[in-house]
Amino acid sequence: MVLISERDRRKLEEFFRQRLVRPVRLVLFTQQPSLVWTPWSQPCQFCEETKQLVQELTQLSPLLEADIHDIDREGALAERYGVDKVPALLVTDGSNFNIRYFGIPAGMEFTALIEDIVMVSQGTTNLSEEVREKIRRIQKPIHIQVFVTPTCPYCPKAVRTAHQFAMENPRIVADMVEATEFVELAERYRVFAVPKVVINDAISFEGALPEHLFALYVLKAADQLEKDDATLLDEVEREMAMEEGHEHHHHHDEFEHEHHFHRYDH
Amino acid sequence: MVELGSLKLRLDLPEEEPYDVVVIGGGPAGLTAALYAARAKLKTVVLDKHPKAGALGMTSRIENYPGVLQPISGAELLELLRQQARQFGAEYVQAQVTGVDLRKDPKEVISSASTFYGRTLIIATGAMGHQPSIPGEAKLIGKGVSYCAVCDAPFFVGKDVAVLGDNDEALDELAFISRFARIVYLISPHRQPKASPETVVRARQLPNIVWLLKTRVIAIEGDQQVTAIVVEREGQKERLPVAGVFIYLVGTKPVTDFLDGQLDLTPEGCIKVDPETKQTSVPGVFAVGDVTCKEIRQAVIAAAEGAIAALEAEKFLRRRAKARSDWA
Repeated sequence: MVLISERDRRKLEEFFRQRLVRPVRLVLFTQQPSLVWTPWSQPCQFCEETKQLVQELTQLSPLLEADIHDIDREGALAERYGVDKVPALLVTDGSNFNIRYFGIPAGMEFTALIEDIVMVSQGTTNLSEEVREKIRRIQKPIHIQVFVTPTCPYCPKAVRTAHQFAMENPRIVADMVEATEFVELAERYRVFAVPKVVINDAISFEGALPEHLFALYVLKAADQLEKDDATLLDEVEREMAMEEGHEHHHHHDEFEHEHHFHRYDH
Repeated sequence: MVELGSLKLRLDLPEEEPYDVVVIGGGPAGLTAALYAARAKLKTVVLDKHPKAGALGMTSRIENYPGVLQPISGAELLELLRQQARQFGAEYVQAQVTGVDLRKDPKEVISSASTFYGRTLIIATGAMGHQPSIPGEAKLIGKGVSYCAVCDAPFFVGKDVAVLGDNDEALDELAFISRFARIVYLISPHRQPKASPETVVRARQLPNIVWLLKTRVIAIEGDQQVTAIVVEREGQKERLPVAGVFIYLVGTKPVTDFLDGQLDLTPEGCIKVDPETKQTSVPGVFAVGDVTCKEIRQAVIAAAEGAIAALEAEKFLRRRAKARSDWA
C-alpha cells in the first residue's frame, strides 16, 4: 500500500521541482522488531510506516536522499545525532542536524515536513527580520520540544516555527514529538493538550503562538530577554491569566446568553 | 495509541499568491464583506469555524431581514449569504482561526485548515465567546480541560470524558471523541439539544454516548489533572469521574483571543475601530459586527458594516498599489 496518494505525488513532484535548490538528506533512525520480548523493550509503533514514507518522498525529487539507520545496530551514530528514540527523522543539508521529528510525521504534520524540506533546501526561513535577528543572537544551547498529535490542526504551525528557529541558529535543536507514540515522555511533561511546547525542560506553553511571542519564550529560556520584551511577555501572560481568572460567575455563559440571541427574532 | 486512519497524510501547500482579503468569521458581517470584496474582483476567502455557529446561525426564526419575505432560520439566511458570496468568487473554508501575525506583510492567519496570507484582514468573529466560568475550568486548561477535540481526544483512549455544550459544533466533534474515549457524557442544560435535527440524529447513533439533558456542570475537579465533574440535575447533585472535559459552550464575550494583544481593544474587550472606516489600530485590518460592540445587535447592521469594511479594504489596496507605482 502506498502512503502518498497519486494526486499528492504529482503535486509534490511539481512543488519540489519549482522550489528545491540544494540536496536535502532525510536521516532516519528506525528499529528492527525485536525477536525476544523483554519487559523494558518498547516496540517501535510506526518505524515501518515512517521508513516507507521517507522512501516514497525521495522518489519525488532527485535532490532528496534517504539515509536510513538502525538505532540498535548503529548506536554510536544515533548518539552522535542525539537520537534517543525511534522513529527519528532529521531533515538536513549535511551541516546541521537540529531539525528533528520523533514519531511519524503523518496526518497534519506531513505538510510541516514538506515545508521543512523546502526550507532546508533553500537555506532560508520566512521569519520576519525582527524575529530572525533576535533568534540569531541566542548564545545558549536551546532544546525545543513541540508535542503534537497527528490530527491536531494547529500543531504543524508550532512545529514549523520551532524548526525555523533551529534553521536560523545551530544552537537551537527543535523536535516534533508525536505524543501518542511516546506516552511516557508525554506523561513526564504532563501533555494533555497540544500543541505543547517545552523549552529546555524549564519553560512551557500551550497553543500555536505567533512567531514573535514564541520567540520571547525562547529568549526567556536563554536568559536573553530584553527589558521591553520582558514587559510585553508579562503583559501577554497577564492577559492569559486574566482570561482564565473569571471563576466567580455563578452560571454558565450558556444561560446568561439565552435572552441575548433571541433578540434577533422580533 | 492512534489508529492508522488518523495518520492519513494531509497536504496543504501554501498558496502561491496571498489573498487580497481574508475574512475571519462567517456570520452576516463576514459574508457580506466577502460578497462585496469578491464582487470588486478582490481575491477573497472567508474562514468560518462552523456554518451553524454564531448569533445568527443559532437563531431559529428571523422575519425582519429586509427583502426576505418568508420567515426563515438564521442558518438558512447564512446559507443564502454564503451562496451569494461564492457566486462572486469568494472562497469559503470551514476553519477555526487560532492566531494571527499582523506584523507580517502580507498578514498571516493561522487556522485549523492551514495558514492563510492576506494583504488585508476583515475580522467579524462576533461576541459569542466563552469565558472560562465553571469553577475549576480555568486552572485545569491543558490538564484535561480542552477546547479542541481533534487535537486532544487521543489522550483519552479508554477513559471517560465529558462534552459540555449541545450546539452543532459540539455534536459534530462527538464522533471523533467517541472513537477514543470509553464513555462520553454529553451534557446539555436544555430539554433537547440545540443542534440541528440532522446533527442530533447522527450523534444519537454513536454507541458510547451517555446523554445527560437538563443537566448543568457546576464544578470541574482535579489538582494536577481533571478527575471528576460535579453535575446538577433537577436539584440533585452528582459527581462523575472523568479524565477529560471538552467545552463547546457559547458566551457573550467578543471573540478576540486569537489576536494575542495585537489590536487595541476597548475597556469592554471589543475591537476598537474608526467609526467611519471600521479600520482597527493596524492599517489594513478592519473589524465589523458584534466583535466591535454594538448597541443594537442585528444581522442587517452587521451586514452593512461588512459592506463598509470591504469597500474600505478595496480603497486601502488601491492606495497602496498607487503608492507603489508612484515610487517605481
